[in-house]
Amino acid sequence: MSRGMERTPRSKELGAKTKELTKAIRAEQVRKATNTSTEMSAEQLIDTIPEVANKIGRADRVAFYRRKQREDEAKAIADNRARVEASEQAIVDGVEKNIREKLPDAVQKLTRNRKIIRETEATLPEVERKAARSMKREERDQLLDQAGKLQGALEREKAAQTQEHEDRLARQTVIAKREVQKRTKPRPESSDRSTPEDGSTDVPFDEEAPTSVDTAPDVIALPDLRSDEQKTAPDAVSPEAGGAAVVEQNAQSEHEEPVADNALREDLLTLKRDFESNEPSPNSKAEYKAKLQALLDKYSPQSDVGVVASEVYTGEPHYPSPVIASNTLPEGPTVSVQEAAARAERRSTKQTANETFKKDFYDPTIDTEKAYKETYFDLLKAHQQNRGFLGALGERLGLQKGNQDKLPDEVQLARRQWVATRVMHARTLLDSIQERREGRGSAARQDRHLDEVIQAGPNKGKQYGEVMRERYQRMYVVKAAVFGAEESEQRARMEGLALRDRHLADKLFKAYNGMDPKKKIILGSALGVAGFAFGTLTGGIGAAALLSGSALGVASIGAVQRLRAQGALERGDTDAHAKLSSNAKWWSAAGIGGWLTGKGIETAQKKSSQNAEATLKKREVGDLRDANYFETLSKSRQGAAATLERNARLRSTGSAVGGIAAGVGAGALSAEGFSAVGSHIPHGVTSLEHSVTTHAASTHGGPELHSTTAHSATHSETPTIAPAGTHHAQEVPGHPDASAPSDTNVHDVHSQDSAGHSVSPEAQSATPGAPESQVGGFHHEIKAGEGATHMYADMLRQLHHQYPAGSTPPPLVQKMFEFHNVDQFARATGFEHFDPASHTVTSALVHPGDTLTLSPDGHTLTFTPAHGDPYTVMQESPQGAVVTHDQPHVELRATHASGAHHNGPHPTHESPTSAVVSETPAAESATTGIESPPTLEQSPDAPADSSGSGYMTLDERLHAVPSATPDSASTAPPETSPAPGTDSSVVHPSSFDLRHNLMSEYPARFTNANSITVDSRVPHIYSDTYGTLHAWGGKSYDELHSFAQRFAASQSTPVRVSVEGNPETLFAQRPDLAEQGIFRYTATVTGDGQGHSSLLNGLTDPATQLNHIPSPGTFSSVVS
Amino acid sequence: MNVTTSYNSILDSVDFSELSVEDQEKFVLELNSLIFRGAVVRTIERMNEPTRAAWYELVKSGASEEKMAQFLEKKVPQADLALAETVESLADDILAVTK
Repeated sequence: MSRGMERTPRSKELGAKTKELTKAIRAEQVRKATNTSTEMSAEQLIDTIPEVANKIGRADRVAFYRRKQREDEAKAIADNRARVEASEQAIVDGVEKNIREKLPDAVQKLTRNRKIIRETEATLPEVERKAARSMKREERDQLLDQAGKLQGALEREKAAQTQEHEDRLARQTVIAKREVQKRTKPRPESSDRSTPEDGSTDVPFDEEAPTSVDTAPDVIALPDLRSDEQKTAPDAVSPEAGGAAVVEQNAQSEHEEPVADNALREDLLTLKRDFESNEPSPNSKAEYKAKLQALLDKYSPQSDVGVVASEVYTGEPHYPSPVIASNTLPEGPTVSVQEAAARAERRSTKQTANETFKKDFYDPTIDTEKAYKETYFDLLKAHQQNRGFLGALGERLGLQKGNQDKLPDEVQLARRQWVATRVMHARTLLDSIQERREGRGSAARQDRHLDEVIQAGPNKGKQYGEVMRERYQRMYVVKAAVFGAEESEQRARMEGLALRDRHLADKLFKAYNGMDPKKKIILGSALGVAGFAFGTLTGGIGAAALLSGSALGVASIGAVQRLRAQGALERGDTDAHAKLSSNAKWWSAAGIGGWLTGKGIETAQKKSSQNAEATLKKREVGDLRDANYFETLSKSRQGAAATLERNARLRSTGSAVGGIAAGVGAGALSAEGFSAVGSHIPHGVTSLEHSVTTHAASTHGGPELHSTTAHSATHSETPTIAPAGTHHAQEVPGHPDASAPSDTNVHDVHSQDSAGHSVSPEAQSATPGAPESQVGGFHHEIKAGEGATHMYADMLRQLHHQYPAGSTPPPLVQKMFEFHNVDQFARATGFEHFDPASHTVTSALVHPGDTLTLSPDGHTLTFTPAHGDPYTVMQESPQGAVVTHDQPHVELRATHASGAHHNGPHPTHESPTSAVVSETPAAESATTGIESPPTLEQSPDAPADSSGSGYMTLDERLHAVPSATPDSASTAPPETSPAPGTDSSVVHPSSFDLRHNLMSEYPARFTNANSITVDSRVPHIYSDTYGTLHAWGGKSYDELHSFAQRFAASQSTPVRVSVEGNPETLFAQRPDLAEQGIFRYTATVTGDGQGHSSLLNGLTDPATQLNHIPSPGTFSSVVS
Repeated sequence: MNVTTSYNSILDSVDFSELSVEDQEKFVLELNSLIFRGAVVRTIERMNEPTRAAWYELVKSGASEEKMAQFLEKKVPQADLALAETVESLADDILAVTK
């Protein structure tokens, strides 16, 4: 039976049951049939036949179906089995196929692996040898160390042997003497060597074998050791015994030697034996050397050949000399030795230098100071520790330490001594600075800088130079001695604190240091009150105060209180001082704690003192004045820019304070508040402004004490137009605030102006005008080294002193106040010299001995040359008009009769202050208000004034532009080539016309005579108030220059166009504005029309401030 | 000599009002920093141990300035003397130097 026909157990079971069932059915049929036959009739039997037949048929069908089912199952089983078998066969086939296909590769891999294994196994000994060698190297290094020690022992042994040898020599000497004595006696010759009487066993001297020291061979001399002497030497190593001895001698350390060394040793021994066993021949040594060299080459990288060779040959362990040892050491230690030597040399050099320095510059006070310092700090720390202990006791008793922190007397004494020694040391340093002024160092540089500042300054700077020097030296001593001592003491105190408390203090310090400087200053302003401690100790009080505003008020009040107290002290009113101080303390503490109320401010206000305010202002005046001088001298232009920035910062703070104070209903306290901020660094705000003013002026060649830069900057932040008729001190051009004598009233106005033009009635009333009858004129004589600027500055100074703000000076003086600087003055008064050759104008040629005099009535200004006739510079006519006398060097004269045209500068109404306010183009055009230009007759023979009296009004002279000459007027106009953005019709016969047309046609939009807003991306030309033409803007200098040339060529009369302000430079300074392409200027032009000083100097908007205040030398070119 | 007078005397001792503005500012900042540090250290020294611990926790917790000020006022009697002591010490030393 095949596998497919095999029956499953279930089929067998089914089959068996089927058979049994079939048998049972048939048996039943038989039984029934039998019974039927026996019990039933035939008929009945016949009747049962169908039934039986059905049953039989049914049974047959059941059997059939069951059989069929079995067959199906068997078939399914067979199929499954076949599939399984097929699958198994497929698997087997696949495996066999894979095996057949991959077996070769596997075999190859296996072969390779076996090969690798074999190779690895082959190289394993070598690797092991290398590893062992590496380990042996380390061990060998250790052995070398031991060898070094043994070397020492050997040296000692050698020394002992040497001593022994010497003893032996001595003994042999005795023996020799005896021999001599014996030879002196006839006796039989004896060759025996009797034993010395002393029993010495030493051999005779001449047969004395060399010591190992003497015979210690060198490696290079190794072949030479095969000499006969060496062979016969007692300690020479025989081939047998020697080699054995070497092996034996090194047997103990054999296991420690590197493998390569052992091999080398073996090879050497072999070589040695071979060499010694052979008969010597002429070539034997050479062969030996060659073989030896081969061995050396073979083992050289791996072993200390010399050591082994030496050991092999000599049969003694090699004790490397220190030099050899160092050579056999790794590279590192050798370099270290060299470095150590270099360092030692450097140390020596440095020490020498230090000794030299100490010898030359040693200050013994430093040692004293250190000694006292240590003493004091020791006492202080001990006191701190004791206090801590006492504090613990007090805590247990429930006590709080009150004044326990007062230092004991001995500690205080030590402190005083220490500070005193610091003072001595500081003064010594100061002396050394004096001595080393020509030397190097920051202190010397500072001192030299001070010298330069003093020497470069005006007379006052020189006059007070020594005072300033003494002041700064005192400052240096204070900082070096006292501040330094305080810092040291604070560090010492910190050391005495627990770590936690130190951490706490550091955290507070960090918070303090992170504060904005102005906040620190504001906090410092509250220092005048005791409550400052609360503010400072809370660390971040400054920031919170500024945010909340309340503490700002406190700060300002604190400063005011401090100054009030100061004023009270000066009045001797100690009681008032105490009250103020008490209030200040309360207010500060309350404010810092957030308890400030409007009522509190009012209360504080009631307790304020006008005298204290006046004192404050007075102090500010003094500060401003001298600070200005120093600023003028010492600060660079960058310093001015930085000062501007700082100024704006402080000013904004001041405005905030003023606003806050006013906001809480403090009324006139606003002025106090602002003043306080200005005084927390007393006078900081206003001083800064004035210092900037002087900077700006100084860049124009002289101490023109009144540029409007700072003032304009102030107003630009608070664009408030001054009330008409308000003769504001800062709005008066030429106000000598930087140089005027101390004048409380003048500076009252300053302060109030800074606070936002809130001129208080008190201040107004406290500023009486000078009566007309009190005018006293002035007289200034030019001294050697002085120039027109000195004369002009002195004139203004005296005039402002006589006519303070609020007074009503004579018309002539008023006109003089309108001049922005000496150039304007010179232009207006004919006080100038025009050089046609150089096309330059020199302001006011004055010489020593020349005098400028204002008549006592203030109506006549006279100039008297030292060598010449006096002439009237300016004079007030009986009608009140100010006129100037004709001067021979004035080239042009205006002839129109109107003396009131508006083109001239009217600073009172067209000041930069008001100009900046008009920023929008609409406003600008609205405020331009340009009238038709006057007619300019360019004839020197024409009457110069309306009256034909040889005079012309000041305004006429102001606008008498010397840029055009009579001859030039007849020049035929060249071919015009319209400039970019211009109209070809812009061809004008005079600069006046040109100017007005420029205003209307060119991109430059004049807000008024002094202000200009331009799109700097477009080249443009504008004229200043004096007719000077300026080219400015564009993307590059070349573009601008080309534009200026074309413009000049297009004019009917020769004109000069100043190409200035390289746009690239300007934009490089302000890339943010470069993107916008717009600069806004208030062009307070101070030029004379000839391009030597006509430039913008009024950069009024802090947002557009440039570090570009052009000096006269920055003109790139003048296009004619 | 109270704090106000001491502070003013420090300024006067160096002719503060006669200095340039930048030097004024620099000097005030330096002086205020010294005073602040000195006052802080001296104030901590005045605290007993529980107060120090409480003060440390207060500062560490980032308490408001108001709370810190209240704490100092309540827990450290005569804390303002720390400031006075600092300023007066400086003033004495400076006067000794500049006399």
